[in-house]
Amino acid sequence: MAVGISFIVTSIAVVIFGNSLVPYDPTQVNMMATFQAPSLQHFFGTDNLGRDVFSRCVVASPVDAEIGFSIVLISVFIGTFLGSCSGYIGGKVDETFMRITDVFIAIPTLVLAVVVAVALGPGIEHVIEANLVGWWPVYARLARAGALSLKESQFIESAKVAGISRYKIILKHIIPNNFSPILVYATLDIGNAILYASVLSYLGLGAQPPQAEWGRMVYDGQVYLVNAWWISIIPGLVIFAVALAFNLLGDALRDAFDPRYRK
Amino acid sequence: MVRPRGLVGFIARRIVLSVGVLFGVIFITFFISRVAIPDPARVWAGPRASAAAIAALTVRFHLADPIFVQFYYYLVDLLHGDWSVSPSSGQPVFTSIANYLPATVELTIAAIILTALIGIPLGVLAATNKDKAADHVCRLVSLSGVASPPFLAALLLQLIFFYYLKVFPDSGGRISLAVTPPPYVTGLYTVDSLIAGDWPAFVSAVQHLILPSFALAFLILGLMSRLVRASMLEALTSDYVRTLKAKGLSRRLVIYKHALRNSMTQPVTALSLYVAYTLGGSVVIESIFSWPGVGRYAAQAAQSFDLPAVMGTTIVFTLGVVFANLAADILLAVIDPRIRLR
Amino acid sequence: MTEPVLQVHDLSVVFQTFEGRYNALNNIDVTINESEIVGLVGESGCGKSTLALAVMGLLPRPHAKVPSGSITFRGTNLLSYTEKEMEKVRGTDISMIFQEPLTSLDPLFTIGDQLSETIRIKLQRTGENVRWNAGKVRAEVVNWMKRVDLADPESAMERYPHEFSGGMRQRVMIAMALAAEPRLMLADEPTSALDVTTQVQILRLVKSLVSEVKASVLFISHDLAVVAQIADKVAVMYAGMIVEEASVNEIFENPLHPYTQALLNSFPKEKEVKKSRLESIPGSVPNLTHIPTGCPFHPRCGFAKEICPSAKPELRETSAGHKVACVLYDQP
Repeated sequence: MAVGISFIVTSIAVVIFGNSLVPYDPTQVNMMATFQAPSLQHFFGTDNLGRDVFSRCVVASPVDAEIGFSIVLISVFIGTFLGSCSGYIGGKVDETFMRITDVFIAIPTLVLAVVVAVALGPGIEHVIEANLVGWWPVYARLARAGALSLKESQFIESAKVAGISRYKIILKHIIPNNFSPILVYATLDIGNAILYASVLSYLGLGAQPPQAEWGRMVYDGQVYLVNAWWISIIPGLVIFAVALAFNLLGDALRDAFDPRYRK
Repeated sequence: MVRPRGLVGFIARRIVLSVGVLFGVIFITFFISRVAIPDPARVWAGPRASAAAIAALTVRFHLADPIFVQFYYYLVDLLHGDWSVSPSSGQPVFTSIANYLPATVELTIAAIILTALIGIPLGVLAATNKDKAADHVCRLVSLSGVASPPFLAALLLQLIFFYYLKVFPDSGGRISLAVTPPPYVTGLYTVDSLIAGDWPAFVSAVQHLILPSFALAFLILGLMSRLVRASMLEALTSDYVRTLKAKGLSRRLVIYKHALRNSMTQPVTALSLYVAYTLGGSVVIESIFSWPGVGRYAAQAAQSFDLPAVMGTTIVFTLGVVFANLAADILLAVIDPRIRLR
Repeated sequence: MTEPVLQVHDLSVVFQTFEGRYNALNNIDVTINESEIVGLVGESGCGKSTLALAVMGLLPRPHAKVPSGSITFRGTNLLSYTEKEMEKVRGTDISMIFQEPLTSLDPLFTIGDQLSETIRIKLQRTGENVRWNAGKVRAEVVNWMKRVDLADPESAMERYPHEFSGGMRQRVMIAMALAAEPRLMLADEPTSALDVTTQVQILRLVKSLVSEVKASVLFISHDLAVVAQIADKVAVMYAGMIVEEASVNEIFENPLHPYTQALLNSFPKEKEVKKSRLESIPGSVPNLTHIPTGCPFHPRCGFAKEICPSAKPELRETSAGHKVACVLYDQP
C-alpha cells in the first residue's frame, strides 16, 4: 500500500511539474549522442535520434494520465448512472439494458477500442472515446448489482413511502451508497486504461509524433531491440510500473473496505 | 457420471441466447461502419479510391436508403462472406481472415492450455499455503501479469530467449523455414503434424509456439490463479470439506478430488474473459513474433487506418468470445450437476 | 465395568480471534461407555460443537489451542496423534455427522460416489484390495442405503445431494457415518435442520442402527426434548463447562443444577415436542470472550449466593451416576 501511494504521489508530481523539470529537451535531436546506454547522464539512455529517453518518458506522462483518467472517470459517470437506473427500475427496462451490456461485453475491449479509433481517426480524444465504448458496461453492471441489493433495503422503502421521486432516490441514495465497490474497481481500472491507451498508441492510433507517448516509444524502439533494448523496454517498464501501482492501490483500497478487517 | 437428461435443453437455451448477443454485436458493427462515421463510402473505398468507386460503393451499401434497409443488406453481405475489400492490402477481408484464422486459433488454444497448466496449480498452492511464501509468490505473478502491457512481456521474452540465450528458434513465424508445414487438416500445425506423423514438423511447430503463447498466457495467468485461489479458499473452509475430513479421507484426495472440482466454477465461467483478453493481446503479440494470424492482420490494418479489415477482425473475435462462452457453459454443466436445472 | 470408549479429562480449548481470546471449553470431563448414547445439551455458543471437533481433531488451526487435558480413546490420548494418525482414526473408528446435510455433502458427486468413498476407506483399512472389489463396494453401498430406509437404492445412487430432501440427505450422512462400523459416532445437531416428523424418524433410525452396529454416540443438541428420546445419559453444558451429568431419567425427574431446572421449566409439558424456548430464562448467554467469573451461570441464577461470583464450582457426584457443579450441593 505504501509503495503504491508513494509511487502515485511521485507520478502525480511528475505529471504536473514534469515538463519544466526535464533535464533535456525531449524533442532535441542530437545525432552525436545516439544509442547511448542508460548512464548517470542519461538515466534511461538515448534513442535513435539522440533524444533523452528519460525526458521523453516524463513528458509523455500527462498524455497517458489524461487518457487513463478520462476513460475511467467518464465511464464511471455514464455507467453508474445508467446501471443504477436500470437496476432500480427493474422489469423490462432492466432486462433490455442487461442484454445491451451483454453485447458490449462480448466484444473484446481492445479490439472494440481499435475499431472505433480507426473509424474516428488519430488523436487523443478519439482514443478516449474509442475506449469509452467498451469501458462503460462494466461500471453499469457494477452499479446495477449494487442498486439491486439496495433496492430492498429499509431506508429505500421509507424514501419511497415518503414520496420522493425515483430519480432523486437514485441520485441521492442509491448511487452514494454504492460508492466503495465502484471506487475500488475504478482505481484498479485506471491502470488498465493506461495499458489500453498505450497499446492503441503502440498501434499508431493515439498521440501522433512528435508528441512523446509511451506506447509509441515502445513501437518506435522495437527495431533496435537487440542493440539498444532500453529504447523500447524502458517505456514499457514505465507503463508496467504505473499500472502496477494502481493495482496495488486498488487492492489496498479493497482490503480497507472489506468488512472482515474492520474492528 | 454425466447425465444427459437436462443437458441438451440447457445447451439449446444457451445457443439461443448467444445468437441474440451476436445479433446485437452485428448491429453495433453496422452502426460503427455505416452510421456513426461521416462518410462511410469513402472510408470503405479507401484513401486512394476514385470518385466512381466511391459512388459505386454508395449504391452497393444502399447508403441513400433508410437504416433498416441498409442493415438488411449489411446482414446479407455478412452472411454471404462479403466483408468488403481491405484498402490497405487490396484483398477481400473475408478471405484474408479465413487464411489467418487457424494460426490465431492455435495460438489462443495453446495460451489457454498453458494458463490452465500454470494458473491452476499456482492458485491451489496459494490457497493451501495462505499467507505464506507460496501465496505471496502467486500474488506477485498474478499482479505482474495483470499490470503488464502485452508488448513488454513479448519483447522481453524475445530478448532473453531468442537473442541472449538462443534457446528458441531463429525465425519468427509458426515453423522453421527449413521445415515444410504439414498437409492441411485443421490448420493447426501442431495437430496436423501429429496426424501426418511428421515429427520434425511437430517439434518445430511447438518450438515456435511456446514463446508467443507464453507471452499471451502471462496476461491472463493472474486472473485465473486468483480465481482458483479464492474459490479454493472458500471450498477448503466449507461444510462438505469438513465432512470429508471427518470421513477420514486423505488430505490429498480432499484437495484434488473434491475441493479442486468445486473450485472450478468461477475459473471456467471466466473462460470467455480469457479468450477476450487473449484475442485482444494477440493483436500486439502476433505482430512482435511475426505470427501470421488475424491479430497481426488487425495490427497492420490499424496502422493503416483500414476500417474494413479491423471491422472484420472484430466480428471474428467476437464470434470467438461468444463461442468460448458457450463452451464454458457446457463445461460448467458437465462439472456441476446443479446448473443443468437452470 | 469395561473400559470406556471415550474419556475426556480436564479438557480446555481456547480460541484466538480478532475479537479476542475466548475459552470455548473449560476443564471438561466427559465419559462415554460402550454402546452408550450420551446426550450433550446446551444453548448455541456454549461449546458443544467444539468438544466434538476437538475429539475428531478438526479444530480450526491455528486459531484453536488446547492448553490442557486429554482425550482418551481406546487407551490412547488422541491429542498426541499427528494429523496423519488422526486421519486413520476418522471415519472408521470415530465418525461424525453434522447439522446441515445439504452443505455437508459435496454437491458435485452422486451420493453413491460419496458412500462408496466411505466403504472403500473401510475396506482399505482392514487390508482389502479395493481395486478388485468394485462389485463388493457397490453391494455394500446398496445394503447401507437400504438400512437407512432410502427407497430404490439403485437409482438413488446415481443422484446428487440437491435432488433429495433434508431427511433423506441426513440418512445418507448417517449411512456414511456408520458404514465403517465405528466405535464412536459424534452427532452434532443432526436433527435441528429437519421438520418435526422427520426428526422423530431420524432419531429412531439412529437409535436402532447404532445398537445394531454396537457403536457409542455423543449426541449434541440444544433441544432437551430431542435428547430425551435417544440418550441414555445426559450432560448439560453452559459457557464451556459441564454443569450437570446424569442418566436421562434422573435429569428429567430430579434436575439439580439451576440451569437444568430452568431448561426444564421452559420445556412445555405437552406431549407435542417443541423446541425449548430458552428466552424464558432471564438474561442471555454470555459471550464466550467475557465469561462471568466464578460460576458462569450466576448472573442468571435464581439461587445465586454471595460466594458464586468468586468460586467456580467443581463437578461433584451427589448420588450414583449423578454429578452437579453447583455450590448448592457442596457438602461442607
